[in-house]
Amino acid sequence: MSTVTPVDPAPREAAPRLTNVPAATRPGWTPPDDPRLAFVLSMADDELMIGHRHAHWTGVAPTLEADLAFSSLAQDEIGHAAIWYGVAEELTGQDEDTLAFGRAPAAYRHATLLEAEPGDWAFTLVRQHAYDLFDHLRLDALTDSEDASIVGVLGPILREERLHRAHARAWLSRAVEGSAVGRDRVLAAADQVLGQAGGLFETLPWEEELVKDGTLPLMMGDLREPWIAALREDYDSFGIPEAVDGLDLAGGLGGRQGTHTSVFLPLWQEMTALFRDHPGATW
Amino acid sequence: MSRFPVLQRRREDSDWETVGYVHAPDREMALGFALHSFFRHGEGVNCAIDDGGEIVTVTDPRDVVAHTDKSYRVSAGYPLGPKRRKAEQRIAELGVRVEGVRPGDDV
Repeated sequence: MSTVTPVDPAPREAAPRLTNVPAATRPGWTPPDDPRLAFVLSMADDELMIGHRHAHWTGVAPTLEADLAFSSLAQDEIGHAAIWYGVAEELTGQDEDTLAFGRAPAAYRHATLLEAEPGDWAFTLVRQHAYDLFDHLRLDALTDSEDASIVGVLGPILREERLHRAHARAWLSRAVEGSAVGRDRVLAAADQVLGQAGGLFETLPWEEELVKDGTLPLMMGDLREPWIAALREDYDSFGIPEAVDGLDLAGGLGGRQGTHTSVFLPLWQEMTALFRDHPGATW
Repeated sequence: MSRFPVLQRRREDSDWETVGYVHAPDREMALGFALHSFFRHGEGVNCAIDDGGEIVTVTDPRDVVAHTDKSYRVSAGYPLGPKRRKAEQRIAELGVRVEGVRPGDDV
């Protein structure tokens, strides 16, 4: 019988550190109380979170084609986040990185559904489909906004969101048409995701004020009915209308007010680590 | 899953050329995968897949091009010239000289 003699590992050299920037000392930037800013940040944060979660599939998606597609979707969403942070930059003077990574967790305004861990492939597809339906309705409504800086950036985002919805619909319909396993997993995922989707429509801070001044053409809650109708139409076409039966949108609240689930803190720590460790660094 | 050749027209007056393949269960998903895999950086003006000899193009050519800035995905998004010039300027300001073998110099 062979024996294994433990060997002390060679001392590891300390990892090289950037020396051109100070260690993290800067406190988090706190957004001022501003209705338009709160709304724009809610959209930017939604896109950043879903983009980050989509990116988890890079390298591990079920097929190479799915891997590339989800990587592209992730980049689209993060690109859209950058656009909205750009609009917020006009309102605050803070750069995009500070807006995206320089805030305390409680200052993020995304729906909690979007911070949830990717789960399995079915969870990811159902969430992508549910969110992109909502996002399309929100963007479409915003074309009637009286805020020129918001309307001015909608075009490219809307065009890419068309592709996103087509991707989610195509995948979901194939997943359900295949084996019973696929159908069961999509139904289970729909139960999880749709139960948390209420947070997408959660009332924003100062929302009535935004509607009065024309920034918002309608209350975000007014998107619930068209979203449910679109969801029902798609799930009918997938052959699983029961996924939408008894839909309850009371869950998943808190995100728009800065209250997040337990998975957000580790996500925030991961996303903001470089920014917090090396404030002012450029690359 | 079937293998579908992906076709591209680089410019309006170009002929179709094969740029790669995707595996997909049907032509609709093949076309979607082709867009996501080959046409997100403005590579061409139109995209198609070959489904058993039938050329199936995208219904809306606007889908072929990227709309938001994703220049970081291509080498042009990393302009090295300005970085090099900035480094050279800093070296000159410091009054130092870089000596020693650089990659390629010892070949």
